[in-house]
Amino acid sequence: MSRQVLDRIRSHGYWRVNFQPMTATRKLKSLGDCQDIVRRNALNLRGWDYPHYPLDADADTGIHLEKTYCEAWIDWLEFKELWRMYESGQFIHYVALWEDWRAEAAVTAGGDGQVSRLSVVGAIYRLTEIFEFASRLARDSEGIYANGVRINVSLRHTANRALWLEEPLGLPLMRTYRCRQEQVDLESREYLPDKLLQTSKADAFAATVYLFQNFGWSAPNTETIRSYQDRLLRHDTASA
Amino acid sequence: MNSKELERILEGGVETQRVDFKAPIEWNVLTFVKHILALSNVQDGGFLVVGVEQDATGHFVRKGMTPDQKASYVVDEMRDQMSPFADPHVNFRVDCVKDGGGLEYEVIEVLPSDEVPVICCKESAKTHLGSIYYRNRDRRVESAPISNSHDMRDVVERAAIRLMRRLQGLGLSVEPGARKTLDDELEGL
Repeated sequence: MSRQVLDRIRSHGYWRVNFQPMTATRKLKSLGDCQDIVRRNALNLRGWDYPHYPLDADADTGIHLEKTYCEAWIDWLEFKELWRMYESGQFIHYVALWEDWRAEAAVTAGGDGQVSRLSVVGAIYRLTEIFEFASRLARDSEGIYANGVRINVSLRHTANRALWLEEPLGLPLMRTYRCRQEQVDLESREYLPDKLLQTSKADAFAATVYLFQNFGWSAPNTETIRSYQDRLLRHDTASA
Repeated sequence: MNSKELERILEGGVETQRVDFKAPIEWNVLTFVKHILALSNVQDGGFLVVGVEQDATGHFVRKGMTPDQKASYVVDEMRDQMSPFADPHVNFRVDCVKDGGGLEYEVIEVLPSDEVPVICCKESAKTHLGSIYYRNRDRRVESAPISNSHDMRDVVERAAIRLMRRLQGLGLSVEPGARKTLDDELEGL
């Protein structure tokens, strides 16, 4: 089932998030530890956790232990995710762009759902969550990133995708910002643990600006990005 | 620094890359700034020994410090006054040490910079903005801006070695195959 979920995620736009520790040694003593470290560090800042940690197993979601990792998945409405935490401390996460699946549902229902767009606020929130989650893992007493961590984040299926500001009270974007390349690789950097702890919000901010610039939005409003980050980290958000 | 260590330096009677003698004088940042910057860029840092005068023949003579002179060496104030001149900041400590004959000296022990050379970041009557001060080795030892490739290589190599040591200590560069192993672990995911 998890393989099918992965195929469905990869069929549309999605985020690929990968944290690699600087050494390949086994850092988590048991598969149970792989499961626990995600559960206790998952964020719940906007009504949907990051990464999603399934509380129950049913037809739409599940969590299980394999030989060297814990794997969880969900395929429910527009929420499609798959993650693994390995005993090495490596974390991999695939997250579908909910914009695509919500739009597809609208089309299926006979509406005029627009395809290939990226929520501006959703992207700010997602990147803030990614770096904050990495920071929490680095802070965890298991010490899986005590020697540093390489963070890789990419957004896939971005060709011809346009930015979209969905906030009801927000001003519309001045023009259409559209990405030309098939994927945007945002981060492949090594972080020392102390740096990651101190700068996760700033790193997420830099990644967000870089992402928008790849859509041709050369000078996004930095204050607005920061204010959305603050709102998320204060748990002061509507769903986005 | 203790008296025994001070005696060893004074008995040598020569300035080296790590040792700089100064005549008895009250603390004044402009008098010391380039010497502190220079010592911070030396392999293991060094010492400024205040209270040693050079006579007409070029020999160093023990003089010691007066109480008023000694009272002007307040380390927190000295650090504050040095701060605008150094990027990254320099670290040093100050000890009042007696020699075997009971004379007292102020010894400023300058610690080496961490991983990047210290750059002078303030123009003044005694310093040049943007210069890297160093204790030159290719002629009579003095504290001066780097002016040749030999000294520059010294400083760069020292910084590289310190960085490598730190990264190795953190495990960052001791396992070159780690990334491939972790990539393989994903099995194409």
